Amino acid sequence: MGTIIQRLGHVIRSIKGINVEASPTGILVNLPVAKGRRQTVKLTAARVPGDSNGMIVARLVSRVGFADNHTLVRKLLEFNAGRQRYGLCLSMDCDPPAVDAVACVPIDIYDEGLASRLWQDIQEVGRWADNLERQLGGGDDDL
Amino acid sequence: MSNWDPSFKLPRIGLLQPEITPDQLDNPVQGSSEQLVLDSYGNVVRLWADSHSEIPIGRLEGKFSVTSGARQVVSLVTVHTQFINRRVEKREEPASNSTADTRPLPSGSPLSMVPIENIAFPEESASNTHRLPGGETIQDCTRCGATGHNACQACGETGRVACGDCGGTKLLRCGTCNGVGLTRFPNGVTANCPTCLSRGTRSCPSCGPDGQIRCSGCNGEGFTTCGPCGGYAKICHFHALISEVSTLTESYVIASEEWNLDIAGLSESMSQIWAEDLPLTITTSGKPAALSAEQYSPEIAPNVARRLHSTLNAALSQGSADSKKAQTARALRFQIRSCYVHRVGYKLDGGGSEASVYIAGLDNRIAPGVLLERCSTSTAWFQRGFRGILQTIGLVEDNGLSKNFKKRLKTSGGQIHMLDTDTTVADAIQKAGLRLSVLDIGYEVLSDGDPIATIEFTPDEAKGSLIVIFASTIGPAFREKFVAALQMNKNFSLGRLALTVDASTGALKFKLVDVRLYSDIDADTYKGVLAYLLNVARPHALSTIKG
Repeated sequence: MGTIIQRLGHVIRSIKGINVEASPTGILVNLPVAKGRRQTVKLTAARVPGDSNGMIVARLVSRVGFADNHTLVRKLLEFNAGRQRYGLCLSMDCDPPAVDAVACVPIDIYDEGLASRLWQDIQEVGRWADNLERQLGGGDDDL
Repeated sequence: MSNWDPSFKLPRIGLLQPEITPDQLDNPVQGSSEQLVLDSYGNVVRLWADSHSEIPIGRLEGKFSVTSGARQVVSLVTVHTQFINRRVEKREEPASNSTADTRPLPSGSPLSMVPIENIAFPEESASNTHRLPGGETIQDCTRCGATGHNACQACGETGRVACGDCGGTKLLRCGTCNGVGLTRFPNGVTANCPTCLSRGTRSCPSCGPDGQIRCSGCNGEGFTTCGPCGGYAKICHFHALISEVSTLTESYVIASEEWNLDIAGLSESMSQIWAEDLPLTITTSGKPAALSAEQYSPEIAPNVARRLHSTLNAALSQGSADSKKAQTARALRFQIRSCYVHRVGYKLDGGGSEASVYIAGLDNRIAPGVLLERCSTSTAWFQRGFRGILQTIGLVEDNGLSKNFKKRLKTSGGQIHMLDTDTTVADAIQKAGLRLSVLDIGYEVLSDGDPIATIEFTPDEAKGSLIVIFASTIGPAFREKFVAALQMNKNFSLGRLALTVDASTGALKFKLVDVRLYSDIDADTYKGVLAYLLNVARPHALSTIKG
């Protein structure tokens, strides 16, 4: 895993205006997404459990906001039925619970273009989460 | 019908195009399983693919395999028939001298009066005139009464006609005041025209005081030279031989099996096996004699020779219906051009059943047919993504996605699963040990005969790509489980739980949903996705939601 993370960290660090914090298990990327707005995306990679031929999935998570009522939870679940590639999940680590945008991308660690593809996904997830955050009317950049 | 790719020509490969002898022209189709031959086929196809940017050769290398090969001799027989029609016509000309060639005209058929030359099989019809010697007579010209001239009709023999500029009035409109008699000066003052002295007219400079000019028809002489006799007052009558030459070309193909090919486009890449001119035949009456076997080559394959014989005789009898008047000579030229045409069976990995491509001719031309279509669709995502796929199946114009494409798909028989052009998703389902059936929206995934999920294809018009939506119903959704369901998504490696409302009953249901771009998946990857969703995520969701 470290290899993918290191490769990606190396690519992202070379991009101007991007802040990167890397650890052996994942990296946090803080990137500009709109006028004066920034978003943080966390990237981790893990092997998929079960009979999936050792498939590895990159998981990209970006905070959208907080769920402080049941109506919102239902809306988020309904939103998940849409045709967008990214889903929403609820994180109970904080109070009120946080809403995160999640993207799961199967990856081939031998793919030469992997780092640039993941970088594109990071940007897309970041922008998407930022849009939702604005719709929800609040949020937090910290994961 | 498959057409040859004009941009691809490869030097002759002896293995694929050995010499053809005339006795091999009706050989049957021959199959080959020799590895050397199959490898040669593969090399030609790969070299061809290399010249097409829409077929990345690196991808094709791993995906393309030749599975069979067959060849047959294909011949293009061309018969040219040159027709020479002749007739004698009476002509006349001015008798510039008083002596006529009164010898008797040549007798017999017009075809024998002058030797026939130039059996050239011209592409375009041509006509020429030959003056025959003898048979001439000289007579007084009747058009001019043997005077050599006629009264000029234009001037009535006066030699003068009304002036065309002023119409015989001798006056023209003044150009300065335009006939008004007044003109405006630069200082704004209007006064009498100084050019015409306010008369508004001026004298015509073309004609004289009578308003007439010299007649141009007779040059003022009042009479013209007689046209037919040229002023000689006598006419010479003679005979001319008119000769018209035209060529009729007929072609046909000889092949053991009819393959779906445009052979005409291949003729330049074939070897000439036989060419022969048959003697000139002159027909003045009755039907022309049929050709005997000795009159054409008997040394070609018997079946080909028989058909050629009947074709040549049909050409020879062309036009014999009016044979009583016919004064026709026919010359025949035939040629046989042949080459081996190879039908190469191939498979693309994950691409379904075997398909064919054709290789033929001395420069190994290729008729890509299905291969180009399949490769360009299977690898469209390399360059064009979803748009290429839709263009291939005719659902999109060059300038963008069709907005009502789904409606059109449904009205065309609900073939939306055809968007799975690589059968990536279908293969993945089967690799995961599951079965599928086709739905209007895509596929239904079956386990032990029961539907457990749907896979829908739909375009993401904003991105111009095709998206694949997996959905599996988990069960009824109760409010107290909403938080647990949304929280569970944090632990899923793939997919997410979603809430849907049944349109007919209004009932709430949880569904496991996964959305990906078609261009991001291959059969193995998606098989892994399905295995996780159905074997890990779904059971986990079922136990959590129902528990």
